[in-house]
Amino acid sequence: MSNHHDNHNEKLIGVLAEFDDADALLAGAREIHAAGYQKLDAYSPFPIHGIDEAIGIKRSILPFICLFVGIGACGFGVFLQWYVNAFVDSPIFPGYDYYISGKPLWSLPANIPVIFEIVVLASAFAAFFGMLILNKLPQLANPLHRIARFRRATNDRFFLTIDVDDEKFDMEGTSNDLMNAGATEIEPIRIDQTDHKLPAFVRTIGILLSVLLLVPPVLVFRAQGMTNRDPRLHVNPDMDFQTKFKPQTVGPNLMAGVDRADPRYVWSDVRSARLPIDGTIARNQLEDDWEFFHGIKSPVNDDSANHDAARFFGGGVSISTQSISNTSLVSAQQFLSQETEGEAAQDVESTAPESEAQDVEPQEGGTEDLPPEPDWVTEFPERLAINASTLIRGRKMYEINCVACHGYAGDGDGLVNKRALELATINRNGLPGAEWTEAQSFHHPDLVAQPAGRVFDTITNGRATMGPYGSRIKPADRWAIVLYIKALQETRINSTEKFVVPESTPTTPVEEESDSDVPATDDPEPDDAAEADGAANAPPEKSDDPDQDREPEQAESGNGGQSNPAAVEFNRVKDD
Amino acid sequence: MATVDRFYNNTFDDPAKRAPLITGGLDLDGVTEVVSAPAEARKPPQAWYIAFGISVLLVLMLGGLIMHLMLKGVGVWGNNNPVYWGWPIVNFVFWVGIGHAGTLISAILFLFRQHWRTSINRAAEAMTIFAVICAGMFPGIHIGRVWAFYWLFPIPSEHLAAWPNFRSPLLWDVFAVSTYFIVSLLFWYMGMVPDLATFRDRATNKIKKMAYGIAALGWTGSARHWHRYEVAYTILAALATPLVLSVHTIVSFDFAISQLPGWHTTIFPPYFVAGAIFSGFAMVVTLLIPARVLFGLKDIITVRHIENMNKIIILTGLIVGTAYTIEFFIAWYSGNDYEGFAFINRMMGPKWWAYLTMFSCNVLIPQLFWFKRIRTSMLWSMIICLLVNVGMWFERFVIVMSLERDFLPSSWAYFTPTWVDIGMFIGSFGLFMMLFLLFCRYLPLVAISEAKGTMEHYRHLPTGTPTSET
Repeated sequence: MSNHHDNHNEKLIGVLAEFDDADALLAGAREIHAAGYQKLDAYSPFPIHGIDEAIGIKRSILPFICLFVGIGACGFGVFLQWYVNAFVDSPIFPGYDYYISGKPLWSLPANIPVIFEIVVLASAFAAFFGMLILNKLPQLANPLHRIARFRRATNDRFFLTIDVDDEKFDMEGTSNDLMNAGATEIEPIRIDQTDHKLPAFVRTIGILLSVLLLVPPVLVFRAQGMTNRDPRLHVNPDMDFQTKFKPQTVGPNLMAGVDRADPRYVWSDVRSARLPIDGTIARNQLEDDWEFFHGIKSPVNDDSANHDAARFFGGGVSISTQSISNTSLVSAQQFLSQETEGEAAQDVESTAPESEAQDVEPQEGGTEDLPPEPDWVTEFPERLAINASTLIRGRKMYEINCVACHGYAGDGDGLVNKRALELATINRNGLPGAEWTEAQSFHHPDLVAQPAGRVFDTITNGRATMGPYGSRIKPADRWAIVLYIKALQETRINSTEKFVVPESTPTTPVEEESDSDVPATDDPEPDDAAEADGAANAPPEKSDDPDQDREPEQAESGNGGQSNPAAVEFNRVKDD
Repeated sequence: MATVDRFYNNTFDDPAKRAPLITGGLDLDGVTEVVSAPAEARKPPQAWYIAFGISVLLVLMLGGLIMHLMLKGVGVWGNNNPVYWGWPIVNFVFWVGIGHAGTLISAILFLFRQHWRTSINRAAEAMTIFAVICAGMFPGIHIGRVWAFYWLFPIPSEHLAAWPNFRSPLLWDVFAVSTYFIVSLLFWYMGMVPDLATFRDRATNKIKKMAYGIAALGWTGSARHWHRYEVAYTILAALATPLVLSVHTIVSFDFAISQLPGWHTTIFPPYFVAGAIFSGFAMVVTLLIPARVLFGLKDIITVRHIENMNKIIILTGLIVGTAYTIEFFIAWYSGNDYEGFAFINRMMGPKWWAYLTMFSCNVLIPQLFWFKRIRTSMLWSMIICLLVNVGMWFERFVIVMSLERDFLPSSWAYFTPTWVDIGMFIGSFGLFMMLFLLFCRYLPLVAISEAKGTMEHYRHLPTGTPTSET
């Protein structure tokens, strides 16, 4: 019997019947259910097949709960990844907006694994917690646990209960029915109604502890939103203080930690990094072909003939950083010539602003304040193959690097230049607008007159607002750009005498090709094949748009230049 | 029923007779008694104390090494140019793979109605969870700043101020392994609730009664509860089945998505999954052979169970062996010089000994299981399964060590682990063993209710249970 102490405060809630094995329980349950009892339940140490029908258990809705949670999780998985990754500027924080191998930011196949895992996780939670909630678990206090014999329900005995609320319930009659159905023992189930509420102080302590538990997270969040002037906590000192000398810092000090007042550095210049030894030439950096690498016919004297740029900058000559930064204004070659003529570098600096001013409107006659012009090459270096493919290469590099300011036709009307001029004219709150030196038109007579070497030097070292491109474009490509610029200039001069692609023979304008839009497939000129080959080699990504942009410009500044064969050829290459 | 021969052989293959899965004449109460004995014994066997002591020492060592790692940085490992993924990822893949057998036994064999799984599924699932804990530890401490681990998840954080990259297989890994751990834990715990109720109802002291009582959630074995429980169990099994296949697939993506010769292959996902199940079963056998002796479970985890697992080991071992061969064939057939070099280098390069160990332990040695005498011998099974574990660790080692020889010969190097690498790997075994030993001591080592269900099912079979063999 049950192990309770007294009966005065107990209430009958049902009756418990014990069966010997699963088969007996199944048969008994069927019989009881058939007798009209509705509120009954069976208890067994393992699930018994057939018991559901025997006592009238309906199929659980749990699978549908899981299904809907799974579908919802799928939507959440898609949304989550779309929300955080699909934009260049994601909400709240930047997403991972790096284009890797040209892959799109938002691509469903790459998102499938995470969607799948979220669906499985959510459905598993739904199955587990759904089961618990539907079963009203956890239910730690259960009147059945007070009955000693019921402890074997989880071991080897089988039980059937009938609720006191059942319409047919009647302690004596029901007990008889159960015995007739094969039960071996019958016992009433009683609930103890004694008040077992927790004492009030337990609740108080519980509330107090819960509030105290909130303190650490609050402190953490507070720390997250604050700035602090104290040195940060170094959890991992080695990663912040490494036993090595970083570049651009102070080198090893032999007296470190010994004598603060008398530091003795290993190297006299105190720096941590060593400069290259005089005359060091990095691999592939031997630029001894003056015409090709500097656009100058020959060095000013023989001693410096073997000098190279590395030597020049790193050779220990007293050049301040200021003068180095000015190299974008005055070419390195001008420095070199200054230096070899024995003048101080400071003089160059003083002339630099003037040269900047002069370069805005390059004039051959206004050079008396400038360092003497080096001996610019006027012909293209021999190493450069003058042919159609070089020209096409030049156009490509020109369109990548130069078009933004100088425009497609070299009129100095690139979009950046236009916008910069607009900004320069705007006065904001009485302040002058941005400073901007207008990009030059290549068709200005002064520029047309410039020797090729000078143009090359401008690309290499920059002029005025224009930055140096020497580090970004290889020398051969720079020459290709010069070639292309010279070709552009020739188109306005309407003379193809000076610039002739070796294969091309025409010297007379071809009248019927004055409209650049006309496809020249029926052109009888013999060099067409060569040009078509060049076109075939040209990068295919040329779209029509830049071409169309250019046409009006060419029309405006026409002067009959449209009829120039070279221009026609370029346009045709483009159209192809 | 002690009259039945304790060494009853249930490994016969007679289609007319169904071999009993629980021997020794145990009835329902007998099964309960046998399974609860380790948890109710006043003292566990002496071997338990020795093993537990060693494991705890190893865990302390592991903790110390992790502390060392956190204070010094990941440079304490042997990971360096060009092998940036050294032992940590080898150990991670090794441990995740071990876990797969548990889910396979509990979910896939459940869906296929393989009744023999009921004797071993609980221990195998526990093994899964402990293995995934060991696995998750390695990438967790590999991130350098361990205290910022939550950056792995899409949690808005002012400090990172960025979202994770959902197109990266490493992020998929975070989701796959954490989902795998949580779902395995739910599955394991849910399966254990009725057995915890059994322990609760048998408990004699108050602390045990309370602890098991809370853990059992008030389970009574009501038919309504069982009904929903079985529905939930089937759903969890159906969810865990694709999950277990996806986890090692995604782990293999860590390698296969990268464009490296020897890694960038479509065979990786199936071959990784087969390898995972292979190594996992070997680990289950390695654990259960001593456990069944130590905790007196010989009648529940019978020789037939071990034999069945050994059969799965031959099957998956053959799949793995085929994959090794196909890899070489494809490397030649693709005509890709780099792919070809990567594989020749695996076999003949500076780590040839690792490849040899892998191939002989994973492909050649398991072939011994074709002999019934060997696959039903506990000693042989134990030795071969230990070697399979060694071989499967070396498989991941061989794959990761492809990095030694990258595209630039001047950066080639020979990877050597540091003492921290070795110590952490051994320490992870300590963690795994400690958790498993605690599980053996305090939790039901066998799914009691499921084993009883199987007994009941067999009782109703028309062929009946053979009581003896000719």
